[in-house]
Amino acid sequence: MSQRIAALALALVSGAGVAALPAQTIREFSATRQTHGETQLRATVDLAAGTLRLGPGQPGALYRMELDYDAERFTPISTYTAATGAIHLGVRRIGSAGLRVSNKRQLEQRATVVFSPDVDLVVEARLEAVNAEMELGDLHLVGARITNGGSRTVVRFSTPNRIRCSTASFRSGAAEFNVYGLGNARCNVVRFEGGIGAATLDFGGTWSTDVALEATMAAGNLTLRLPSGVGVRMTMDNFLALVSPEGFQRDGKAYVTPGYGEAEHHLDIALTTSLGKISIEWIK
Amino acid sequence: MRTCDLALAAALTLTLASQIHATPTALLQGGGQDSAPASVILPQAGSDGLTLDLRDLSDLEALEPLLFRAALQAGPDLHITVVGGSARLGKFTIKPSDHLSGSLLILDGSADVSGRLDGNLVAVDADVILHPGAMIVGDVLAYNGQVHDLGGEVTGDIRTLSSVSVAPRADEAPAAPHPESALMAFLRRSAGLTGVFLSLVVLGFGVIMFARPNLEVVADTVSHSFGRSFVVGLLGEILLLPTFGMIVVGLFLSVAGILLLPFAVIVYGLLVVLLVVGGYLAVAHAMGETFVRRKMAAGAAVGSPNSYRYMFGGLVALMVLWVGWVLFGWVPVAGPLVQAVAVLVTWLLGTAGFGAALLSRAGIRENFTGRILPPEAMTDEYLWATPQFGVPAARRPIGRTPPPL
Repeated sequence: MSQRIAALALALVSGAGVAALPAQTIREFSATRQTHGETQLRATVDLAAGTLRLGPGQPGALYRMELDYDAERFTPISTYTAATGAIHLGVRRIGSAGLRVSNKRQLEQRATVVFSPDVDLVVEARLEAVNAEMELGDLHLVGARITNGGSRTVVRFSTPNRIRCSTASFRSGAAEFNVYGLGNARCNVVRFEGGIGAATLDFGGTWSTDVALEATMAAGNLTLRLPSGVGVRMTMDNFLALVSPEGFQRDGKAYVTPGYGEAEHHLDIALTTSLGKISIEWIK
Repeated sequence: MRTCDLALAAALTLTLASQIHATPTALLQGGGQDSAPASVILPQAGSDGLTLDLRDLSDLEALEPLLFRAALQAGPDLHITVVGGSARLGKFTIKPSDHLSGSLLILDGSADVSGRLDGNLVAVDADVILHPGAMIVGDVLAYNGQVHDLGGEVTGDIRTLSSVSVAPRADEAPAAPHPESALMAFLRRSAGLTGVFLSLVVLGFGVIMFARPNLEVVADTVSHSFGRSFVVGLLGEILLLPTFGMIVVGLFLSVAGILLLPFAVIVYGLLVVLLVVGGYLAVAHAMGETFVRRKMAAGAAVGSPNSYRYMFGGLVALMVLWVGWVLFGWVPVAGPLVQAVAVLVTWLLGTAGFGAALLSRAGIRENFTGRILPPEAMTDEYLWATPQFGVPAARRPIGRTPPPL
């Protein structure tokens, strides 16, 4: 009898009643649409957490998304409106709870989104804590607006955009945000708005148009990688910011590169920064 | 006889099937079947039965619970209503000559499409195969299945969704938490406490070795002015962050100071750690000294009374409450209570030590140590009237702390 009591006491003491945590449920979802003569597509991608890969797809598919999502917190979105040519992809939160990153596994959502390279595309990506890799080259990109609240985003224009793009807008919160090959983007206006963190805007690539850059950096490090063959003019509105305009000449309130007027293509930069640091690198 | 019956039944079936397939715009009930087990048309449910509206497949949040329910109940006895369409159980084939209309739900089979369907197609626990020439005017959804597009045309969206019970991959499965026994908890906490104690002993001996005068001044301050030290320590803790903020802002505003900011942050952090840890060690020193002196006053032999002995004894005394937590931390109510008391006492003594370190400027200023005689004590009258040595001097009441000079 005493042995049984001792065993029971030991079992109670050892705290055997600790319940196992429920496993996270990752589910798979895919959505695609064949092309039927569409000429334009306005795409919106919403992702709160996880990894995103975005780029050009096969000509026969207007769009395609493959998604592994956290079914306990999110539900997939795939809504196409034929009248406006708008597609909304990504995930939506279930209920009203905010984003709660309680463990690393929660960030294992993965989304791969591709768009047809044959239609005029306006893409808006609204990301929160997302590691994003985007290839926007080799598309008919008319405009882009990429927003990432946290984590890391890399946008590449590895090959020239097939058409002229009006505006490419990038917004970064507390994140690392890198854009490469903006010369290939063929956008008339590039806007960047950074909070804290680090950002790189690389203007390499094949230039075929003049570009205006409007960049705002609150308290982070912004690196501008500028091609040496392009005429660059820079105006700055800064407060306690560290800016070293190497390679520029003073022209009134602006800084210009030597031979700005004779250059085939021009890049006009309007910089606004408060406590950030602006670095300039020259690329060939 | 039996062989004849079977042959007749087969012939009838084939005849019926060929008649259905020959109809160019047959309704859904007329969809073709191949040689695989024939699909069954599921009867419609009653008014309170399972009803699915498949005309909009984009709202998966609303649709999925119904599909899940249908998958669970899938069988010949299932009654289900598909608004504007029909439901089938088993493999279903739409042949090239078929032209069907309305939403179509396939349960527990596959949809082999070569013909035309004007409506949405949903396959539950089933794959959809789109052959060349297939035409679906609508959306396709494979719930817990795949869509194999071999050259068919779909005017709407093609979606797939895995079922709810997708388990995480084995290599990603989180390790189940190990329930910790009381013995393991005791051993873990013992190891932790021993580590902390030994670290403090090493730190304390190091401070004695290299900064003994400062340590003694702080220890005397906390011993002689405990209340004042505690109040100053409390104020210091409250003002830690505002002070830090002011330093940062001040350095920012003075442009040259921005360069000093990283160093200032590091120095400030080190200074705080130094004052807190040093103050706590000084408290241990003061406690050990008080204990040893009381034993000596009682006439006990204590060996050589030195700072190392004070420090060791004081740290042992400070650890006593934590030893109680190690021993009884597993007890449901008493354990957390002992832990709370230990935390409270440690914070109280740490705050007093921190305050003493601030008051004495890290052991530089002796104003609150009780070592300095008040000015009136330096007069000849005071010295003449006040016994300085012997038994009368020992009986003299201890005065209050003199004001700072």
